[in-house]
Amino acid sequence: MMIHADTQRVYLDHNATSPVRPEVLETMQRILAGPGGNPSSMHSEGRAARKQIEDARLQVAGLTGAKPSEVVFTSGGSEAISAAVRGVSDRAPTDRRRIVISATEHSAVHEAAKHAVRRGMLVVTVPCGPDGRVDVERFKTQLSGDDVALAALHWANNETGVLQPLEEVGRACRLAGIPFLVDAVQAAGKMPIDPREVFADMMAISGHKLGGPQGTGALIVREGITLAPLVSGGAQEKRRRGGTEAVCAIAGFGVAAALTAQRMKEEVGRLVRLRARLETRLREIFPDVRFHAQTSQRLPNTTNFALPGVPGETLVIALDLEGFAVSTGSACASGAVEPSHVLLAMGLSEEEARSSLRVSTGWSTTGDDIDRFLDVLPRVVGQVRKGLGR
Amino acid sequence: MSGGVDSSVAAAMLAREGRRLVGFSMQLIDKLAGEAERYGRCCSPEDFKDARRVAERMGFPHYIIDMEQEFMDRVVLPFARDYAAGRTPSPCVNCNTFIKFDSLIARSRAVGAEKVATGHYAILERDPKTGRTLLRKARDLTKDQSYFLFDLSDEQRAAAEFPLGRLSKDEVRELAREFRLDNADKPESMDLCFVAKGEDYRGFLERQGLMAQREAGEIVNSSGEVLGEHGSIGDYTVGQRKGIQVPSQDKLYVLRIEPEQKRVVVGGGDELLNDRCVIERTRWIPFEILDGPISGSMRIRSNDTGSPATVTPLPDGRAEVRFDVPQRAIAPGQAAVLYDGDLVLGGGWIVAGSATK
Repeated sequence: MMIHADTQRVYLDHNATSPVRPEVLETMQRILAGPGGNPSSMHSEGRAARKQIEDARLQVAGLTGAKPSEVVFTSGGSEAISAAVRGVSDRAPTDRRRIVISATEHSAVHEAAKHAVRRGMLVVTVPCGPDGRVDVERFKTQLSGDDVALAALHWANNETGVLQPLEEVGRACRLAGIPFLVDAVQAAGKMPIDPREVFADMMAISGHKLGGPQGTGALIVREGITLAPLVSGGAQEKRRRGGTEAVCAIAGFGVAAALTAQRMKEEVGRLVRLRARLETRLREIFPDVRFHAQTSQRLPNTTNFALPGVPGETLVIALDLEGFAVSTGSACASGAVEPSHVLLAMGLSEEEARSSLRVSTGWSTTGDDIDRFLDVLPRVVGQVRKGLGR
Repeated sequence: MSGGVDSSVAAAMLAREGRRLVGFSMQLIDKLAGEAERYGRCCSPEDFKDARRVAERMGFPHYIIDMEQEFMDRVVLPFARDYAAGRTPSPCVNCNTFIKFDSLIARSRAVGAEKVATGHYAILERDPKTGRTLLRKARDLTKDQSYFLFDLSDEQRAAAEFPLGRLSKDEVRELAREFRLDNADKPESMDLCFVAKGEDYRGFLERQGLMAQREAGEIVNSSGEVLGEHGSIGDYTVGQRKGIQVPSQDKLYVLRIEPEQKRVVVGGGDELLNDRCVIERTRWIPFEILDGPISGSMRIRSNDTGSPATVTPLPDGRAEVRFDVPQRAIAPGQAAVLYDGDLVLGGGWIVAGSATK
């Protein structure tokens, strides 16, 4: 067993978090070393801090195609989602009591919806097919009553990368006058995400999935939508989130958004080629490999696969000890791994779901990383199978 | 690594020796069924945080691994079945045999490790003549856990390490302070690790939905006279005195449980005395097979200090145990473990109905 020094490590878990880009780091260091200043202050330092936030707002708006005035900064994707779900359900008319979501939402959406249940809402979960896409017809059927307060669908799945039929669902929501929340946390930076094109009224994104700092995110709120505030305490973020802004982190988020938008086209092509290499070689090395949702429309950077008889949890540990960071897809706060609700919803057995591994690439991934991963994987898989006697 | 002081110190000792280590904490039982914020005596997020802090401090990686399914199948369900069948379960022995030194060893090998070290108090040493791995009592007899380890195979023992075997609890706490472990003064965990604080095993089984269906039956004396009624044989174990709702001038004890007739047989203290029983699924340690009678000191429950007995092999991995002096409450389902001084010779599982005079 070899525990590699950090410098030699290969990081293939960008869907969990993407390392901070050097340009982001530089901006944040500059701001932290600068004069400071509260963005709400009138003086020069305050005005400088305000400008940093408003610049970032422009940059984040630029990534999404939203207007800057529609960008509300939050502490991250989960907070943005929670703000949207709470913000809508707290102000929903009393005869609108249902929240419609898809089965493969991120736990942030499931949990926020569950929380709304305590406030008298009813959550309806629409299943997905084996391709990982939500069943559009069933989703639309659920929207047909007059009692839906909110509908939510993610843009791309964090575990499989599967893209969801947003436009169809969004159009149906708009026609029915139902507020539509899109969790674009995984899609942001990996493909164009314009809320208008999918009729999103609210859209959540996260800074650290783009190579920005952890602890940043935004809720894009379409003009004309009113939400109950998440944090009261001041007039910041149009009274939606009181409290002094995290200037340095928001500025870092802005830089990450700008870089991601600027490089998106070539980066998408690069990541697709890396993945094609990875999946082709995996198929050659392991004829029994099972790719999940490989034929669906996916994000360019995500591969989810299973090797029969190789528990994902054990493989992740064995690979970590060899210097490779990958994921089973679903982590939970306690650190122990539960079978993925996403793969279960796609009809996989618990055993198959537990045998799954997610490889997700990003801005820092090189072809060499993929080759080193492919070099080591057969030996590690052999060791796991032998150790477990399979 | 449970997060307790013993496994923490065991790991820290090996780390200080420069051994390459991977820390594992076993998630054995999830949040208690139906309740969001209660945990068993083990496996709480706080316990795992303690374990992780030790690993960080000593500089080795640490993982929480999900072993709930194995623990349910190999420990909890047999535990529930034993109670339902009128036996006295020994979950800690099964946990060692099937979880820590089977599943966990397999997973350790899967990630490239060769051995599994735990915070058990017992001594392992190689017999140069036979090449077998011998099991001895811990030097601190008040902490000795060799009884719970008797059912490991030679291969399992060879893959195990017990760094604490020659230390006293005080020395272990001293080492914890020396290593500056945050949990040096953490209180001892006792009893069934998977049952929540302030709860007994019956409450646990009920909440897990594993309590056998309650069926009332007769309480009889040893001559078959009906003395009263009971609610369920699952409420009784051999040797139990409390909870026998029968008026009597003498103290009454459960002598045996007859699951087929749903009968609980009770009697006076001296009726509990028997001088022989049969054990099954025997395991021998210095040798693989017992080929003739062997004498030693037999422990018939974990807190028994042992009594002279002779074990004679029977077919099918069974053996007959004859005690020099009659023993109280030889309980089916419990492990009977034979010692020669501090050396564990082996043992087996007490067969229902086999205890006789």
